[in-house]
Amino acid sequence: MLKNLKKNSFLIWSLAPACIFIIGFFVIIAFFLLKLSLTTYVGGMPQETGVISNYITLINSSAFKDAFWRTLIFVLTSTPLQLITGLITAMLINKSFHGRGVVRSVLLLPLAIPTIVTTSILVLMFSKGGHIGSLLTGQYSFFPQVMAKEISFMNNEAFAIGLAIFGKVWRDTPISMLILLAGLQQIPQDQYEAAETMGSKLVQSFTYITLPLMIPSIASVLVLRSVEAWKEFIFPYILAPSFPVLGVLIENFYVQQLNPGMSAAIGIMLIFLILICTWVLKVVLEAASKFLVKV
Amino acid sequence: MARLELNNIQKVYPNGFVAVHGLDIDIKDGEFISLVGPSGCAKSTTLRMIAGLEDISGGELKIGDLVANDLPSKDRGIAMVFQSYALFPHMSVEANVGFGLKIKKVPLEIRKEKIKWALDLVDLNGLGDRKPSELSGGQRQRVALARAIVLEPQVLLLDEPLSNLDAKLRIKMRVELKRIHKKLGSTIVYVTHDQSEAMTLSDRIAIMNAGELMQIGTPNEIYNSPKNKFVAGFIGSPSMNFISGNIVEDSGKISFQCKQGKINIPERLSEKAKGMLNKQVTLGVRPEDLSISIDEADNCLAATVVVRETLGSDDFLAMELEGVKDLITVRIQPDENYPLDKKIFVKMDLNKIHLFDE
Amino acid sequence: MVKKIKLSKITWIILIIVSLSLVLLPIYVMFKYSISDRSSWITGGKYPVPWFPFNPTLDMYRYYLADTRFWANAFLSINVALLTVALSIILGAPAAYSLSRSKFNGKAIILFFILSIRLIPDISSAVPIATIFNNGLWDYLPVVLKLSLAHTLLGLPYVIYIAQGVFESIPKDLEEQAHVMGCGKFYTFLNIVIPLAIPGLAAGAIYVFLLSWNEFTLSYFITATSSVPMLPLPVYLKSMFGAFTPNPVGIATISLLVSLPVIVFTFALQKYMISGSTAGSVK
Repeated sequence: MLKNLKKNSFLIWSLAPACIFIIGFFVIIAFFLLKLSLTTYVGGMPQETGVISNYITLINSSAFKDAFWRTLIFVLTSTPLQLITGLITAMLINKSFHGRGVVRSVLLLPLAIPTIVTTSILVLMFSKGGHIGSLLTGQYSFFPQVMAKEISFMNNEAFAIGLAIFGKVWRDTPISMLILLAGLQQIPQDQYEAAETMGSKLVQSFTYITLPLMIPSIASVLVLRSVEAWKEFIFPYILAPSFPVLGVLIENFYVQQLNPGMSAAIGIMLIFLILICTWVLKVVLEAASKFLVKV
Repeated sequence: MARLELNNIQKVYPNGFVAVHGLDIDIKDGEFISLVGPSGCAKSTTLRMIAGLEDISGGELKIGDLVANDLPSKDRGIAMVFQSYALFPHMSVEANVGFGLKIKKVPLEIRKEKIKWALDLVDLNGLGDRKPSELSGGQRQRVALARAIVLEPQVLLLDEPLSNLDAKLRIKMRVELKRIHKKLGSTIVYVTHDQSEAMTLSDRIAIMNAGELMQIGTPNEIYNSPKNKFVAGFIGSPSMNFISGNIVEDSGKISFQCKQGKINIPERLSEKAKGMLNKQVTLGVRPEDLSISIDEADNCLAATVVVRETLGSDDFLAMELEGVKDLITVRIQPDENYPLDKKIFVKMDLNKIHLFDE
Repeated sequence: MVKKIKLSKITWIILIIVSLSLVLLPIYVMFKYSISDRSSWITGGKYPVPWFPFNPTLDMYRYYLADTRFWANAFLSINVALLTVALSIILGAPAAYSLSRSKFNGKAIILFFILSIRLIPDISSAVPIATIFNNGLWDYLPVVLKLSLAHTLLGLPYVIYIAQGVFESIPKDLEEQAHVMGCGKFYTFLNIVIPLAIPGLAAGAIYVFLLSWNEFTLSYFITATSSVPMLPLPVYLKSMFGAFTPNPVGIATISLLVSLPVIVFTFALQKYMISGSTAGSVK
């Protein structure tokens, strides 16, 4: 035993610090998350520990239900949108053409803008008296009038959530694009040529060859992006503060109402929602890929 | 089944590079024809032009009675087997074979029947549910073949289909291909860089070099009367020996003169030789048309044995002609024995020699 | 057939233009606001905000670059980022090296644990982290350390992931040669492996630096419920929205100042940044 330890001392010394750091924090976070979620707070002071009343209060509160539905809509909209925009941009630059490198770099730009900065630009553009309001009320000569009166985007639930979705898609499309591009580049050209000699048109080649061969990349995009969407905080927090999603509700309870118990309870429910959603996605994707490769 | 005509077919790339210079090939209905040549000779480009995967820059391509230059691939009545097989990795064998039929919207019932027929033909019964990754190299090759013949094409195009197989399997698949061709009687264009494949499989062989047709003919014609030095050197293994020298006329007798000796030109070549009088030429002779003589005689060249290669059925001697570094190869019987590093003589069968321009 | 090709080509060009302008327009607007003069953003509703300022000016840049509060916040951000890089590399590089070289049982388990920390959504883990850091003994930690410990939690898995690839690309022969010549494992690691791995590790370090520089959620939760004199730049930027009359030129200027280092580094090291941002897609 001791001999073994000595032999592997380098291994142990190199791995131990990182493992202790991560596993230590993992345990602390998990423990406190659970403990906080089982503790009730009144006026910022802990009252009872070891009770599940936080969960019960939450499930019965309309604020939580509203936040859940908003989050669900956020997930169900932003995830497929990112898949589509990612796929379109990936296919656009999967061709070799003059200036491809530049186009690719520009399309990657959103990744290089800090998230909070993206939200601040959107606030500037969509706030009252900003460019978009002026554009839609026909104040610029090159664009027709769409609305009679300027509306406040961030005070309208549909627009505010829509804006948050737009920001999220704008910022994260490059990630989907890169994943999908890697998938596209792994499909050999002769697959398409073989299909062409057998009479396959562009659309058919896309459905029968590109899509099924891209299933792993698509799955990866859908899973990663939907997890991201469930836990999204910054975009809805800045752009739709009056219409909280679950992430924003955590902040509301924690910062505004000084009630970490409720925050932790939502945090734990969020983890379970993500797990369920990922499992459902996996089942659906497996069924879809089976359907596409039938005889 | 159809006739396939290539009339002055050209391929010019946008950068001005001419890949194929006016190719004329007339392929009869049901014929098995091979396009052979070294890599980069544009044989695959030619095949891809026939398939419709590559634009034709000039000339006329006729499949059956149709001018097919601008027809999309699917309307040409062709099917193609790719060098990489290009099997769809995500589909089962059956789905792969049935893909073309599915695209053509053939009803499922008929589709299944045809898939079964094609898989029977290539001996892949019962493997329909497997994925390509679960098959051996030879089996994948058969799936690719089945996928092409299930469409009952007028012309079947094969692009180096055996080049990814190991030597033993390749020879087995050759026989298989021949059998399938016999059974279907379809017109087949077969691209390969392996001259022995072309020789054993084809009705006729078209030899290409640098985008030009060198010679087209039956394997026998190509082997026994090559039109030029390129064809002569490309076909046959080990390849033909070349000796350079001059044609001289000495008191009415025409002969080939080189450093190592003098060879009389036989009657059948005298016309050709007269045109080459006093010019630098190459004499070509195959290893099996050479023999060894210990003593000097007519039509002999002095040489020394450098290495003996034993194959079992035949042995080959690598010999150095006197005064030159080039080696020539001579086929001998395994029981013949000659001393190494000693001056002996190489005698040639005058009926089998060839003369080429330098 | 010819017409069809043209149609698809036109669609392609249109889509390229649309996606490029969708990406560039917001960035342009940010830039435009940052150099706007007063009359170009306070319009009183008489005319729309112009697409280019009437009198472009760098006043706001001059103002913020001379502002001690801005610099105090910027230094906090830089210090947190540097400390995060140091912690992540010192902890991560040796671990990544061992993981890339050894074939011991349980390697998969350790890797799973290291990456599993990312399975807890940051918005969920922010609550316990902020609670721990702002209570009990932990509360005495300086805010720089609190923030960088939290950021290291995000950065360390990336460093281990990236560095593992870097070490795997260094031929094992070199180390074996060193062992044969009598060097110990530790000596070899420091003197043979690390020098060769520096370029790759540097890229990982920059990635983590930017990660920390951009981080909002954890920083916000940690600083929101405690009174701190300085804020990391992203949180500072957010606090500007909350002002009674937000100043768009100020917001745009800070936004640009915060983005600039990220844009520069991202494009200088595009290849490495890409591998970092798609790291999670490899399973």
